[in-house]
Amino acid sequence: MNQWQTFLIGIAPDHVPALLAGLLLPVAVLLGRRLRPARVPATALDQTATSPVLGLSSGRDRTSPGQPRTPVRAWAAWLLGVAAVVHLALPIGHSDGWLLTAGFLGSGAAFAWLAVRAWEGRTWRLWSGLLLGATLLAYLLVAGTGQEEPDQVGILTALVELLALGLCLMPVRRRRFLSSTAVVAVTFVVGAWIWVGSFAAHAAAGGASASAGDPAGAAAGIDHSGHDHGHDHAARAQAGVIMRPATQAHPTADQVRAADALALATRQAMARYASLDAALAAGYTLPLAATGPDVHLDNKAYASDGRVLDPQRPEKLVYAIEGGRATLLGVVFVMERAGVPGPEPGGPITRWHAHNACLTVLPPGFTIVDAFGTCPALSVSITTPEMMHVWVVDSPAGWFAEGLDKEWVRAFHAAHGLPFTAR
Amino acid sequence: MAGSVVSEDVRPERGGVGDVLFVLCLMQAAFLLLAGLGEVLMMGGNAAYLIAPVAKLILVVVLATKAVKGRRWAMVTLMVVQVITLVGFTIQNLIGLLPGLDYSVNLVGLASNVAMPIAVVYLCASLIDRSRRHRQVAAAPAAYPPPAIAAAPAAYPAPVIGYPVPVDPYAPAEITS
Repeated sequence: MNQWQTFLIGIAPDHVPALLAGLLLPVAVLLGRRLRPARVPATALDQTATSPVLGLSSGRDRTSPGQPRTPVRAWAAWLLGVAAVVHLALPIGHSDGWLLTAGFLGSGAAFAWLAVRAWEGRTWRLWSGLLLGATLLAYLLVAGTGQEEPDQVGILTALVELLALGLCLMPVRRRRFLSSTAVVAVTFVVGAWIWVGSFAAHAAAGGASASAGDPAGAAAGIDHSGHDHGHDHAARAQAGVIMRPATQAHPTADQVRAADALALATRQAMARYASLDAALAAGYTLPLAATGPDVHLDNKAYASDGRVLDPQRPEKLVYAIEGGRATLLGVVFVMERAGVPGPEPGGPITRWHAHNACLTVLPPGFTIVDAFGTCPALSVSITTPEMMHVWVVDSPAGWFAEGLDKEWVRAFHAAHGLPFTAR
Repeated sequence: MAGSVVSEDVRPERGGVGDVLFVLCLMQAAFLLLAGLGEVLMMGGNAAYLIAPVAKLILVVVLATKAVKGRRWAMVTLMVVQVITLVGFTIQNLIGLLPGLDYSVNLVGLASNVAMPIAVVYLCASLIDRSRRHRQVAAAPAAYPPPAIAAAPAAYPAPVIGYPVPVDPYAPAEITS
């Protein structure tokens, strides 16, 4: 996957019309202002009301019936305008019910009305604040409950709405601290919610699509994973996880057999690493945080041996390590080079994913890119090579899930954990 | 820093560029907080990973607050911070071109890592430009000096209290008979 492909994957196909509408709005507005006959401002006030921010001349403006157009008003008008056209264009791509379609159209019209009010110097803050708050809340609800997979257009629209909401809240000078705190808090909560929601969608999709032995279930899982419109889950929020979209919705019989063969071969080969001591003797190394329900052990020799998807030489092993006992849960196959797509013998069952990680220097550490596409201060963002989990335990999530339920892992570990001597 | 302080007259007005700048900086602060807390969680709750994000957060908020109040040094420093962010983004892209490494770009990342810093730089520049123009106007000599008021002659009669009505010497005399 090159950068351009990754960029495009983040945009849900049904949100493309909304994105185009948002991008074309400035062009349409500027073109409309060019084509409109010039009007001489009636008062000197209209001339001083020119937005110094966006560089728009008021020479062609309609006479302002309200307050002068300050930069905040101009920015708010543009932001509300973008939100308006995005919402109005959403039904073009979405095939939703009439209620949701009416909701999109209604909110789009309301945003447009408020944008005009802000532009013309009329009161706009209260209704804009309420509408923006309600829209953000509605987005968080559908994103958090798995009804809609957060994608780049959705998050960007939320960002636009957050900025507009901040402009609504900010002019209260006497309560500046309060309104500032509110802006930071709302932005943080929205970002955290989307981040968690995208991970939940990723885990749910991986779990649902994981049953190699049950192609019907796998196909159903893929269809209903992140987006309830029949689209595959592709981690379009790209908040720490990057996936290629599935090339097909349903696996063929050959692909199911290939996935089964891969899983069974891996299970048989990994039986020799049931003991953590055996894995360490074979060259796998423990990370610094060596306890928990999903401890990943690396084998540096296997990471650069030129072999891909070799059940005998997986690049990582995953153990649950707690209470002096260890349980082998599965393996992680990792591609040798970042940006190189991994083979998918099982089609949509055997899907790979990568992580866009942030490497920090003070202190040395790592994390993943958040929902707003940012990293901590003093860090560098990179994308890891593609990887794929294959679990060697019979978990409800299946053999190719992205992750296992931690409670299930703890119970399984309590029953099957083996003592080890290595420290 | 008295020399770098913009006079009270050019303090950004309510609803002005400064307010937009301030909101953008607050959103950047929220991004920093989110990313920083995410790393703390990823690194097993080690609060040391909050030091750099919180330091930058405080820096950005303080600079934004001072910039809103018209402090020129704060605007310049804020511009420098944003330019460093942009340079970091460029370096990430270059690192991603190295063999074996990769770097992902997405729409939201472009908005928060490129568009927002550019917007902040632009707004700071417009504030600085505005303050500079204002100072130039204030420092320019007046084209027409105010006329000097001549001192009243000493022999001039004392003013009559009670607002005397001047008599028009050219008014026709009243007909008395």
